[in-house]
Amino acid sequence: MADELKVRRAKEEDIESIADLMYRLKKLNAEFDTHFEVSPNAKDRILSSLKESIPDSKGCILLVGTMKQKVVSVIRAELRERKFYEPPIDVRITDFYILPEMRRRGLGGIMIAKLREEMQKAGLSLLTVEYPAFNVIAKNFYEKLGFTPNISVLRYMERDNKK
Amino acid sequence: MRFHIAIDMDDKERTNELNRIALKFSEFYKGKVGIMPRVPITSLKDFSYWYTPGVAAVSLAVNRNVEDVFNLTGKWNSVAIVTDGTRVLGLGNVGPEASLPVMEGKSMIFNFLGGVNAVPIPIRVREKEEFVQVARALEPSFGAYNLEDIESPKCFFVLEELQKELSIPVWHDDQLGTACITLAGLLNSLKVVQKKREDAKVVLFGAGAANIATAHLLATAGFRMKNIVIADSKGILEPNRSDIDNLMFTNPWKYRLAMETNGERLSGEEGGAFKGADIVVSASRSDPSTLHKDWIRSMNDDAIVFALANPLPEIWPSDAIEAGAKIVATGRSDFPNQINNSLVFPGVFRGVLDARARKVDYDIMVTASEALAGRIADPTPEEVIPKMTDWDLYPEVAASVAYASSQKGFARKHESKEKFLQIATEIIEHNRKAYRTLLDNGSIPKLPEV
Repeated sequence: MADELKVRRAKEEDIESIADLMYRLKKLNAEFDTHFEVSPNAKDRILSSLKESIPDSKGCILLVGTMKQKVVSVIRAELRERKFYEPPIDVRITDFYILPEMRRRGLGGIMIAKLREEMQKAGLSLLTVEYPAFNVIAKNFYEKLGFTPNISVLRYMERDNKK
Repeated sequence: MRFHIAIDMDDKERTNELNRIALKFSEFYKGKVGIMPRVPITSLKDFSYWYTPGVAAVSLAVNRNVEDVFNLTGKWNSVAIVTDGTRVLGLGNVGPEASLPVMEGKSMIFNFLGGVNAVPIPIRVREKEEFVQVARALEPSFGAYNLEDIESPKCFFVLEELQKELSIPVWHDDQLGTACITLAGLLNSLKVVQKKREDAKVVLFGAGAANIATAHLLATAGFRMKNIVIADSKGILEPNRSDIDNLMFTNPWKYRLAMETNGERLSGEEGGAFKGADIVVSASRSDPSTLHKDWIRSMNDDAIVFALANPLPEIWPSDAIEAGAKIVATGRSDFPNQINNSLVFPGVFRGVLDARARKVDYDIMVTASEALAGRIADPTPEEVIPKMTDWDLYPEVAASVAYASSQKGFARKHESKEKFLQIATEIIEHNRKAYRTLLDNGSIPKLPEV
């Protein structure tokens, strides 16, 4: 099944499908932490940000997985500057979603491999990923691919700490 | 007259009266089960071989060969009924102490119908991992585990983990017992309507413990997973349902079924699942307006409707029949075709204990269901499930289970099916005779005036 998957750079015609998958991901993140509560206009914002970024992929790498011409997965990675460290660019996966029916078929590994390929072409070597702290499935997935702990992000929210 | 259950009482009156006498009797007997020696003690001198010093030799023998614990102690016939009291009957999370009357009742049935020594063990635990840890620690005393009244989805985790880790059969009656008797009823129902299991389209209405297990059991029995559609209050279960990602984390068992079932990828509201279906098994809300007559009307001819909620089925049998159902089963004894776990677990446990089985699986369950179904030679729409008064049923199920365990390589003890039948029959009859003696000679006091 995995060999029917085609991974490529996102095109303008994919925008609606990608927005749908990214919105599902935001909803999923909300399951882990109330601080990921999805804003009411999230879908519109996703759409407009995709419209801005897709033509020239400025500042990010956006790949889609397709099966029989249907977009079944998306991976979005931001290129972040590291002013004081080497290498100077961190490619940070911020969104990665695969349709439920397509999971457990090795597509995740294929998507990451394709992303690494794109990074090599661009001379980029550091790949990092962010996801909600309680998403153990994501944690296990990335660890299996050789990712190791890097940055800890903790949060402090006024409303949580009011007596 | 000690108490009064009149035929013309309505459901509420009857329930109130049964509740009243249950409390009075419980107060009088102070527990439904107890432990009695099963060896002769004629003087205190006998303790010197039943206990110290002689017992040390027995202890050392087991230490040398741990499997001898089955030959030298009561492990071979002991079952732990383990619960955390989080989903007791329809009462919800009443806690471990409040679950004890129910577990004692279960223990009583285990003993009376299956000749099994079942020990009620409500445990005070919070997390599912803690449940597994405690249950794992208790394994040495028991030949099998019956998990009971544990909330979903915790029950799936606990069952899966204990089945993986223990070398004795682990059963969760709310899942496996219900699935087993449901399959038995469906096998006979299909015979009546002359349909094949591999062609039958099945709606499982409600996605709790019972129907999740039923889906797997049906697939093991030859029904096609793709022909099964699961529906619940959020609609038809399918890979694009809005709560699907949530299910991946909170209920992976239901999530997996969302991928494996519903080959047509039906979606939308729950009523849409019924169109063209041959069977509905509902384990949902105890409310007769849950299943709509229109939904039954949209099913294929000779529809089979199992409405299993207690005390009120999801649709009254008369309504289901009026809407076109050919066969209706419920959880109640006052309608034809009562789906009752008590037809299953005494025989299944007798069987796995007699074979000293290491595990039980869906194949063994299919064997048990087929044995149950086989108790009715010529099923009719009003009789697809055997009755509890079919006393030969329990040893028959036991022998089928024990022999299947032996054939599948799960057993520590191997016999022919005939021999297993003889063993089960002797144990059950001997136990019942001993009980009858205690009752007849007054050792068990007669019911008090209440």
